[in-house]
Amino acid sequence: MKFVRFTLLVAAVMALAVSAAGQEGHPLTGTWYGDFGKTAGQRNDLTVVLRWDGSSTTGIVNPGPNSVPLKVARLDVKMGKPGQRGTQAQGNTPAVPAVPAVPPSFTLHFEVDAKNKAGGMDRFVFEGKLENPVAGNRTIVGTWTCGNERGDFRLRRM
Amino acid sequence: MRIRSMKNVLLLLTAFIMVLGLALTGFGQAPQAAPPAQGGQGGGGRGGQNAGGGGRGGGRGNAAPALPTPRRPDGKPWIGDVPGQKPGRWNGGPTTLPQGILEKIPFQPWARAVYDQRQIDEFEPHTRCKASGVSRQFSTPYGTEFVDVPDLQRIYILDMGGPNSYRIIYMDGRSHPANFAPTNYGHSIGRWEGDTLVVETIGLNEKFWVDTRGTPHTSKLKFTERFTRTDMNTLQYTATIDDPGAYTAPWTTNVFNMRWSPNLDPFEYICQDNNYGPQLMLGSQDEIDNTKFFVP
Repeated sequence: MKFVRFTLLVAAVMALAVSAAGQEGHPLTGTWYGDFGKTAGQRNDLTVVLRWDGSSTTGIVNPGPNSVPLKVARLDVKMGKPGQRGTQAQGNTPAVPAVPAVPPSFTLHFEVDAKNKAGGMDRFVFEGKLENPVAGNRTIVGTWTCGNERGDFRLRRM
Repeated sequence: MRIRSMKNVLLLLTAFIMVLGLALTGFGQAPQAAPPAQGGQGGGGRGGQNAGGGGRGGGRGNAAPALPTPRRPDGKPWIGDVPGQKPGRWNGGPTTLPQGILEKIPFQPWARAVYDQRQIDEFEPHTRCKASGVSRQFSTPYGTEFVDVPDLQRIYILDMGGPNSYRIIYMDGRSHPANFAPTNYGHSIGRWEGDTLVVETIGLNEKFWVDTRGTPHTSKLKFTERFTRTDMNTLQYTATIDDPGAYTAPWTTNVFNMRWSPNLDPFEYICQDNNYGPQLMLGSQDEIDNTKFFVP
């Protein structure tokens, strides 16, 4: 019985992963999983769910009963430059060298408030760059700050 | 003596099983060659590099003379196959919807950046055999068959060269369902405006590209297509993209002309079976994005 339950769980997780991997719309949409911390050895799990409603990005951190909505979330886009395919020389027409395209860059900025030990609220500010922005295995890598504290984070879209 | 003959029988049996196994394996891996004289382009969708309106006419070979538009008993055009004639297919559909008007398209910034990035990466889901709806149906390697069944008030669009899938256009006057879960082909309803078939599709998911060049869309997309069969061999096609998730205003493509390839019986094409698409479709890329979690 345990084996059947485990198999069903694995199948459900795989089905979810397959359906998520097909997302070709807005590059932020989906569930992102990874970690953040001050050092390489001091890490905390981080799950962020992001949605694009057509005009703004919304999301939550740590989905579940203790989820926290994002205070600010946006995607900053810097346009690239299209490339040009080269041509070989033909007769009197000289060869045209290929010009490689300059890819656009995508930067995610989000802020979230979290309770501190004293009962107050701390604001964490995250800023990261999308790597492989239109591939299924896209990632966001960047840094975070909270007051005087800072560190890095890494998220991978599930 | 008996033991020896038993050994021989066992040997024979083993050999037989091995031959059978090899034969079966061979069946499973038989290359999926295209049937001869299909009239399609055989490649698969790259193209659209040329600026300017109008799609490339496909359907080399077997060009039929330009007869008048075939008509149903009620006077409407047969949009695809004509009863009493051998079936045919439309070739040369749009490979890039922004062809000739790229700089006029009201992209949202993220959508333009995604479009530009896709010109570099070229990781089109169709090359991994994902069913790809709306206009992407018309740039499959072996053309697209339209089957109009007036008695059922439906038109079926069968795209050859994909994952053996089809789209239904409901012609019975129904509306779109209120809560339609997004799918690869969405929900299509059609109507006639004079001799033009107008098809409106909603409920599209975000798992595919609407053309081979990666024009972005979101699940908010309403995709309106206009098909006009101007003669036996020509199907004019335009699409209006209304997607507030990716564009700041609706926009309409230039007119693309699809060409009729007659006398082509349908054949079974399963994209997933020995998919040569990545080599054929990825242009200068050497391989598809195998770093994805799941590449079917």
